[in-house]
Amino acid sequence: MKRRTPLILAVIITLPLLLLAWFGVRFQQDQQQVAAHQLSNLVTSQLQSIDQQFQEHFFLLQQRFILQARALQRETEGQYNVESVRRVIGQSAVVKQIFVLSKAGDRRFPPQHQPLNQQEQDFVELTRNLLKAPERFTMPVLDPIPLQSVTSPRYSGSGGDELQSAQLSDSVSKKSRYSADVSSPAISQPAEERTSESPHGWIAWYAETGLQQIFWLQDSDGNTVGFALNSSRLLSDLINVLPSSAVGSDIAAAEEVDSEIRLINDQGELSYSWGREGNDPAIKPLQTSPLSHPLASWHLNYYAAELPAVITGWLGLVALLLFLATGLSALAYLLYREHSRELRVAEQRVNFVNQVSHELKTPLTNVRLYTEMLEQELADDDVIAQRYLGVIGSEAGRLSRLIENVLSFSRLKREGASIRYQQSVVDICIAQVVELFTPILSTRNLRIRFTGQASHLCHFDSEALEQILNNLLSNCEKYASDGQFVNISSWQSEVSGTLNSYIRVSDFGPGVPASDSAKLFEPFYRGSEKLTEGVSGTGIGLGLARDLARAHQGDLIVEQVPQTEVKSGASFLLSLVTPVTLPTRVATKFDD
Amino acid sequence: MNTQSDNPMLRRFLRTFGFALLSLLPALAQANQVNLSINLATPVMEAEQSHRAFIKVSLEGFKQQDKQARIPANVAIVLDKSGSMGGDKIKYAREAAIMAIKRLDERDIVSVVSYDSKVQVVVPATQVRNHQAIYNAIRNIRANGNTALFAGVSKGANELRKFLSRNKVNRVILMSDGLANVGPQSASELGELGASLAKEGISVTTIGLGLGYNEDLMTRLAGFSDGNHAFVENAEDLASVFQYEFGDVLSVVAQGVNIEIRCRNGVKPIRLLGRESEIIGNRVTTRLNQLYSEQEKFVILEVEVPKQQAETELELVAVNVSYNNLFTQNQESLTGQSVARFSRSQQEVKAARNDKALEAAVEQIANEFSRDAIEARDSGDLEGAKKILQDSASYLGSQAQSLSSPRLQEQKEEALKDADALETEQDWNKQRKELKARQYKRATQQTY
Repeated sequence: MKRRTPLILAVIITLPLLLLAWFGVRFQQDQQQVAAHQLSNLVTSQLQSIDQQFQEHFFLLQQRFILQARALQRETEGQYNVESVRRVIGQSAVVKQIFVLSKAGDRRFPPQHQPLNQQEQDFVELTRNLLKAPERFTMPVLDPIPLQSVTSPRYSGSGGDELQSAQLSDSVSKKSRYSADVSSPAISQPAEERTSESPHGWIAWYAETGLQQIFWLQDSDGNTVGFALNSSRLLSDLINVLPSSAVGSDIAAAEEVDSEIRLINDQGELSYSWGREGNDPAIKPLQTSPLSHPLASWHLNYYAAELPAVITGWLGLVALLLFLATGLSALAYLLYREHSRELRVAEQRVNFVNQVSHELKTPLTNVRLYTEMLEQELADDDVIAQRYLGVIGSEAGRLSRLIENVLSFSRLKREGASIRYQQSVVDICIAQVVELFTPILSTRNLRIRFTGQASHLCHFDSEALEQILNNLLSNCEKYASDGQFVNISSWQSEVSGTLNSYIRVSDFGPGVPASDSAKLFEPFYRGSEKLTEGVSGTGIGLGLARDLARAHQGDLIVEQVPQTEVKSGASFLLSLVTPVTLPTRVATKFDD
Repeated sequence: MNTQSDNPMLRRFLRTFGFALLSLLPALAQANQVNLSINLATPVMEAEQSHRAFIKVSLEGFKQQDKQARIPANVAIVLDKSGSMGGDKIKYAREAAIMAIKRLDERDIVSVVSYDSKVQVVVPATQVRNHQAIYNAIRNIRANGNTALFAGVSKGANELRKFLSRNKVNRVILMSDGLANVGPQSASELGELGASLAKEGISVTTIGLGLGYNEDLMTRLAGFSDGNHAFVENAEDLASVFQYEFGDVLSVVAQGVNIEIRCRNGVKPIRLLGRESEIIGNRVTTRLNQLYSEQEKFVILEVEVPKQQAETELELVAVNVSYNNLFTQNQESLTGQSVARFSRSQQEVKAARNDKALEAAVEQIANEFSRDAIEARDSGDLEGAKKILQDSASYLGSQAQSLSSPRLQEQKEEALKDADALETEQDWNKQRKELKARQYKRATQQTY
């Protein structure tokens, strides 16, 4: 009992803690996953928007090139004479070189039969293979992404949806009406509507030094005009599209998201990076996103430190658990203290009752002894005195039984029941009790009808049996006084090699309702008030009787009498294991 | 005999003609006009013989009449703040930038970009009103990290573009002390960027600090965009270099100078000394981004002149120059030509020699030798490099004597010293930077 209380309290503390911890951890993990997912979505959209910005850049270039090409065609009346083209190259900062192929695939610029400058020579050398295959500029399917104009307007609509979803700045979104993607044939210049007819596209050409971006378009005469970008300038422009890093001061750095994005070129080299300071180059990128055509072999890498928000989440959980644990522990300690104090008080009371009972026992024994002696000394004809002495004797007997009950009860609580087996006959033991109770019961107009069939010699604790029967019969005396009879029957049977003895005590009083039958044996319980009214009792008798029976490897139960009988009454069945021979000394301890 | 008596007359005639031609040009022009002069080093050549001739085409910016009426500047200062700039270097760089910005006022736009592994726009393009705020921002620059030079220049140029105007002096001033190691890092890639920026009217001045930077990259970047280049060994000298540079920036009088030289009458262009140029057939074009007040910039064109009969005159080249006059804000153009006479008389040839033009040509030729020497040294041919420089020195020596030019004599001494210095391995890095810077200055007639 004393050990169990802290155990229960410990369970009370740990169970909610464990539950809470489990849910908390689950919640945190979910939270973490959600956060990671959101972050990755965020990163993806961030990287995509950068890609989108690059696409915008290419689209703007494309628009400019288309206009330039058209102006050039108009100016030279479709001849593309050398001076004009060179002038355009000389004026354009983003173009490294221009080439013009005739419809038949002949090179018109750089000119084939005129002296070339160094740059033109280099360019011709570099793109010899490309320019030899003019079908590249007529077969849109060759491109990795259908960037060429397919002249159907519905295509541009469907192709544009995906890219359009990215967020665009105000000025750009105006353009994005046309620039949904670079492939869109709908060219922006509203004044010139016929533009959408000219096929065009981007080519990423692997030249010696790296990727060379080329924009080509076909003019109305079937000539192909190509613009090779100055790749350094292209990178410079792309860098300028991208943000710069925060200035080293603390305030700005704190605002900056703790991440870094790197632009990696087609050769896997770092071209530009921005964001967080001082990164370990060895760490793996959190996310990698390839760029769209014509930067197809480039990609963006996103680097970030561990998620900082999660740690605070875990900290919060741990703090909560700690708080709860201390709270529950304090509560449990208070409860435990209260409980143990009550226990102590109860124990003191029991001790007090014990001591009083002990103190009462000796004088009572003397009272009974001298009453008996006086009874013998007295003449038989002195009826009145005899009767008075009888009352004194029976009342003293009752008192001593009560004291015996109390003492057994407290002994039982203290050290458990110990059974002392002795060889005897059950019926003899019952008869003794019956004899003792006959005068007492007769004063209440009760008669005992005893039918004994347990006449085998066997081993049992006669004192315990007597005490059980005492309790049962005194209950009959108290509660079933209007029933006229008390039936006691006993029998024995052999079950799996051991002899069992059964004793049934039944009265014809008000009986025990079924709902009360379980509680009947609890210590200090007394049946319904209707029943116990005006009757004295300690409430420990039946409980003690059952405990003794159980210690004797038997049991004491209330039998439910069939409803049909008019006067039901209560019927108790006592069963005991009463071995004929004692193989070993059986002594069971009974806890609680 | 006849010819001899005729010669002085003719010479006199030519002189007066030449003088008239030369004096006519500035006279024709208003005061605020660029001065174009075309000088043939050997105006009279021996007949019946083909020649290599040098033509000096020089432009001189007119004088800024009023210091107050200068051209507004649009300057981006791009500072390297990589780890190697730590300590005093970055301190001097900051102070140099601040000192330089002190010379600017409300008319000007300034921006400051710093870079390490990443790029920070320290001062976005802004009018120079609140000096103190700009200085404070600059003083916050701390050294750390790698060298993202390409991105730094890109961002600097981008700041310029916010206020880009043909009527402003648009310039990126790049200061670096290390090798570019983030992003593009080759001289050719940076050169390409420089060429592209030049097309927009942006020039890049490169200042190499210490012995760690890539002088090829820096001179290429400056060369293609027609900016200045300087080698500063000690950070203490940064301030004065910045002062010179800003002096240049604030004295620009013309921009977008295109020089087109057409060779006539079977004359063949061989090379244009000093500057990047484009030679297609008989047409040579080159470009100067700007002309500074009262500074002469010139190019030397080497041509091959075919055999001619004696006593004939031949137009060798026709020169066409167009530029944007920042004061009148007009696109203006100048034309000129160079005529040679052919004679049998050695004496006459010698007498007619234009010493100044020849001196300039010799200087540039020797400069080319010096470049070749570096190339040879780079490819490991130490002896070859030394020989080139020694040849160059003896060439300079003989020319110095015949022209009695102390300048060439000086250059000869230099070449000899350089030849000696080639051998010492440990000093080569510094030597190379010095050489590169010196070559660059000679080729572009940089004043500092």
